[in-house]
Amino acid sequence: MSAVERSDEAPALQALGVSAGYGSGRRTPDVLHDIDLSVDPSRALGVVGESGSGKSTLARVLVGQLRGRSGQVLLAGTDVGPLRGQALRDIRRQIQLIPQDPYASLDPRMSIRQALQEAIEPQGRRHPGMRERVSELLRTVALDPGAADRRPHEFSGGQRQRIAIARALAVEPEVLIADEVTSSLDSSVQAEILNLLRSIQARTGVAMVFITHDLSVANYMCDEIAVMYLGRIVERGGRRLLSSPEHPYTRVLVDSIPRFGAMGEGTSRATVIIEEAADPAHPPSGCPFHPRCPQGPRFHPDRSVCVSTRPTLTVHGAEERVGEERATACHFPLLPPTTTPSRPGL
Amino acid sequence: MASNATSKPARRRIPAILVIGAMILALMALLAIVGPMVWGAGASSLGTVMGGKASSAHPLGTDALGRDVLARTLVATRPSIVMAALATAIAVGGGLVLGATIVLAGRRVRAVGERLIDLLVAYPPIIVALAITAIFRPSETSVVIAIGLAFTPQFARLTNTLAASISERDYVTVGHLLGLRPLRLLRRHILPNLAGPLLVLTSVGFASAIITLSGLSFIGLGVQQPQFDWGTLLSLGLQDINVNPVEVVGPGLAILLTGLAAGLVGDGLNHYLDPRQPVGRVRRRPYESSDAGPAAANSTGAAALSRLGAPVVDDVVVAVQDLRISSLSGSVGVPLVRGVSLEIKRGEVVGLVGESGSGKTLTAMAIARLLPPGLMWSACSLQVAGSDVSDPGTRPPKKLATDMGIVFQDPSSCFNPARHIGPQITEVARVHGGLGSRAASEAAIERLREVQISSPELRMHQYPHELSGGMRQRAMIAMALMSSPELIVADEPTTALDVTVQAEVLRLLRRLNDTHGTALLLISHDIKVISALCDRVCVMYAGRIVELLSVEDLHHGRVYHPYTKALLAAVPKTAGENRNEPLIPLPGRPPQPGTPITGCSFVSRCPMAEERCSILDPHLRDIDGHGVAACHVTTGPLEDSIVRG
Amino acid sequence: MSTLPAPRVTFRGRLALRRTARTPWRSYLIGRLVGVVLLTVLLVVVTFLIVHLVPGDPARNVVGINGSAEQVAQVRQELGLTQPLDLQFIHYVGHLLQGDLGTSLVTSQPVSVMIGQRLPVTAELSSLALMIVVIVGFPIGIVIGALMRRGRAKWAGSVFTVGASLGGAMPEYITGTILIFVVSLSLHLLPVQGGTSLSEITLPAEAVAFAPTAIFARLVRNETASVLNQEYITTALSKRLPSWRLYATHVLPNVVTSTLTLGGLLLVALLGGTVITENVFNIPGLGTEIVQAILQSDYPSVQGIILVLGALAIVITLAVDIVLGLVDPRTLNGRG
Repeated sequence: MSAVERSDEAPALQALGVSAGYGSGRRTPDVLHDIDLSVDPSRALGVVGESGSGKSTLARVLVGQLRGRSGQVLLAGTDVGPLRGQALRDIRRQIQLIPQDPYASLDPRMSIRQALQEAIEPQGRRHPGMRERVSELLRTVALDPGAADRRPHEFSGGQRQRIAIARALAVEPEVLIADEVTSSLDSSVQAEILNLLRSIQARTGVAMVFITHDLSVANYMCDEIAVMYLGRIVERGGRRLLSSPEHPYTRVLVDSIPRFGAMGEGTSRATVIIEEAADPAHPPSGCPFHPRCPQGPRFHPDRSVCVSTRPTLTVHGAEERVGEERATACHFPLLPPTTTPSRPGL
Repeated sequence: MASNATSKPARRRIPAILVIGAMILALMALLAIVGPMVWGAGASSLGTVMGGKASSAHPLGTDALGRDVLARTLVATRPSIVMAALATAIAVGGGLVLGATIVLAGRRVRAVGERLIDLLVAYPPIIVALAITAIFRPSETSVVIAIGLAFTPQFARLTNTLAASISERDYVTVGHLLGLRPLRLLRRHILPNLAGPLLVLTSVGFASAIITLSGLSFIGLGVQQPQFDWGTLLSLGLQDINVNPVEVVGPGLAILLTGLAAGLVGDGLNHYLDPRQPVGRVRRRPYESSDAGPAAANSTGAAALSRLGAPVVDDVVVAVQDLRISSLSGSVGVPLVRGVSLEIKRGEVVGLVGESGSGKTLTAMAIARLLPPGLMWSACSLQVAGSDVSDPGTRPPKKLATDMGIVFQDPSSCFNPARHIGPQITEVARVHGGLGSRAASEAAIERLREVQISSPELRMHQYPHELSGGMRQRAMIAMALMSSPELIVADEPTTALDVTVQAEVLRLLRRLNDTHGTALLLISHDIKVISALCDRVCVMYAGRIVELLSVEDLHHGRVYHPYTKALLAAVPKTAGENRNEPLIPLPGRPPQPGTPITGCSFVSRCPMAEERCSILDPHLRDIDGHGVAACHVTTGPLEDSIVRG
Repeated sequence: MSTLPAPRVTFRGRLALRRTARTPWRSYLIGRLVGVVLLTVLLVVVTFLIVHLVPGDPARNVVGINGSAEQVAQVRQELGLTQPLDLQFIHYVGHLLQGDLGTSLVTSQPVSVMIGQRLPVTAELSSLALMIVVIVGFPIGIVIGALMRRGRAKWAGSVFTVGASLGGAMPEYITGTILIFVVSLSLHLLPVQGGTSLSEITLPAEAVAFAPTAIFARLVRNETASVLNQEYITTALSKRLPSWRLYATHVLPNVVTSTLTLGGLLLVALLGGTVITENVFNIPGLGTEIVQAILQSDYPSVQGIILVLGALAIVITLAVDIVLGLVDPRTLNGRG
């Protein structure tokens, strides 16, 4: 995908300083801290992280299933927070979710046609042309319109994902959130779904947020990638993020992708991780990654700033091409030799 | 493009118990309607024979006032059934309203409501019913209300749990997003999915109601004289039991029959609505099949000859020849693995790669002699670590436990949750290795250290759920290593792990292979994992091995089978490689196990298919002296254009 | 009862669950104790209100239609109904804390004395029934569950299921009636009516225990089958252990933990069955007393018995929760 000029309109989706957590009553700790992100129409943002990174929580906050404790979520410039009732219901149709589990995302008692009709017209009103619209949607996702009257259990996992995509498209949203949509599918089926999503984006200009643990998938699908760790974004940038990561965690992620010849003993120690990630509810002080960071105080005892001060997202490098701006939250980012001094960024 | 996929039959067989139960209940309902009209006179007419035994005139005898017991029992059907039905309606209705609507309310209300229900459930219903009966003097009405209210909390709890689990389903979440109003969500999504289990609950509730109601009438707190229901009839009969025991038969049978019928309906509905796993998707179950019979008979003459035992080569850790596995569906066998042969040499790392349904897990489990029941299998020869284990009818020797270690996919369920992991790790060493518990513990701690688990002494006394997923997996590997096995079978060992943890585990496996010379059979659907770890690769498709190749050839794309080529093309590349290449999906799907296959199983998806491919089933053959693939058409390493073409 | 679909706990969910269990025991105990307090308060309030919820005049119910106005007034005085409601409640609770449960309107005996006499009988009967349920039901369930594991012995499985369904549907009063008829009258083996000695409560205990044993055995069978399906049994199988060891160390502990909760609830249900069965066999326990008390509108006695039975249920539930928490540490986190 070529670099796209920044449009003058508001981004399709924006999160500003969003924090969130689960549980009510006694205050339970936040699992998302201070998230800033934005996606423009026709662009795809990949959110990458492991378990405990908060990426699923982020998905739920973005679609409104979970209320953030602070910050704002804006859809096409409108703050969703204060809205209630019908106004809220109307605006929520602008952002649609394709959930992870294809076996739970469709009501087993409804036929595909009924599910799609409900998406097109949630109040249940019928209007002429509905039948044709359903067929058209099914064709868009490469399914046979004749199968519309079947029930979900008659379809395979990959087909159900397509139906979920068709249902999301029926609403004609501005933003699509794809939450680990290919994790439970075989690789060949995964390829179909990914290509389908790309073609849909090309055709409709919908903005996409692609949540995944798989870096290679994010690399394939997205223009911009945000790497999450323990509820924070630790690095954000364009596709060069994966070939030259700045944050040590991103480096470890990239090096962890299994590939031929990577298992030898000569592997650089910089990519080795010790221990498991901390509890997202009780993150370490300072930089959340410091207990495990190959660049951190564990290996470089003089780098105590990692323990005392939490780094913020900062633009370190000289990359400033449009659409390629890179920001990293690290005191000792992995930079190529010649760089200009850092300045605070997004 | 769509076609019927995993086809569940549209209509399931209705269980016999459901039919029987429903018929009995229908009979009861009929009697309830017509009873008093038909037999009312007979029930109240005072006869001449007091306390009479069973006779042709009075099949169930007469009571102390000479009234016909059978007639009275039949007439009592109406009050008994009606009261029970009303009480059930109160309990289920009240429970439904309470339990389901709490789920839709705000978070605070929901928390309080669920807490309240939990509290109310703690009191036994009988005691609640007694309290209510005490308040409203014993009568028909009071006992109905009493039972109804007494059972409401239980139903509220059950519907609450059900409704909560349904409301957490993804399709309800999406429903919110589509802009559906809460009422519509309830009506169209939550209630219909509740209907099934709710029906089961209602049947069971009715059974409880009729029994408890009759019980209360029996002890005198229900229907009062001169009214009568089954409970009071039973009580009257009990008073005469020394004199005329047959009097209790009528009402007793009536109560029993009705309660039983309702219970049967509930059970039957439960079976009908919640079927077992469909055939074809074999879930792993613990015991291996020892059904020898038909499978053995299938072996051909040639196979029988070679069964005389391939020479045990010291160098080879696993030797399988012509492994076949099928599941039983009725009397027909559904073939799942169709003739797999492979060999693993000492210290080798061999990978089995394939998509779901390829048979790779079954193959590995067969080699490990851990196939679930319900599967028939046979092999011309199967030798593991020098032991011949090819006979399904014979239990494998105990030394298999020390010669071979297993690592499973799901680290959260492979350890016994009720015991510390220490004893589980040392179990084989103590039972088969003759080690005392102290020596075994020390060995275990060493192993845990070797797999880089921190504070191993502490871990020995921890429960599995206290360890994280990655640690559990490493503990599993430590357990597998305890006896210094010649072979480790790892079935998707890293699929459930985060990518950084996965890298660690894979590195660990590699290191162990280098240090101890343990052979490794690795099963994975992820071709990246396979190319990272293995020396040799077997590609499986539809129950067969379709290609055997070295990992170098795989990495450089020097592959001979179109399926392997397509697999490589479908996987997104990482940074640094050709990342802008579009992914080429593989059209179609693997054939369903059980669908008869003529010719090559890949033919419908193969870009190179020729006519002979639909007729003749290709076997693994040597191609140009280097490649080994099951394909008629291929003559050398395939070009990339084959799949992009 | 049908098994309910449990919400799917994903791998990541379980990870989060483990991490929040910092001080599981403390919060678990506190939670349970809070529950007990609430339950007790509710019980006391409800028991207190029994008299006041009676439609019409409770005193009139006691005296009867033919009683004089003076008698009614006297009863009102005795029940303390002349005072304002909140005062009555305070008096009630005050008396409770001193162990005074009031005086029976029929026998003029203190209710606490009556309970002191009759509670041990009921408790003994329930306990004996519980022992029968566990000692008979548990082994049968495990054996059948193990026998049916390979899908063989299907006939045994069907017989068992049918038998257990039939047995589980037998109400205790019908079982009691049959037992009386068969054992006592025909065979003259055990005494029928009254009495509190062991021989005298054997028959009633069997009546109480019959259906619950069938239900329990079925439950144990299902749990055994479910445990045998778990992946850790496959792991254990790969160790080629002798069968007895497999069952003793891997199957049994897990079956026990999962049947424990329902076993505990069964005990509470046994209380109810005991109450009814006492009336069949004329056992001088709380069951026979409360029936008489209700029929005669002896409100203090009714209140006292309800209170004691309710308290028993609460204590038993708490004990089960604590034992369960000790035996299976995973329960400390989830709900129920």
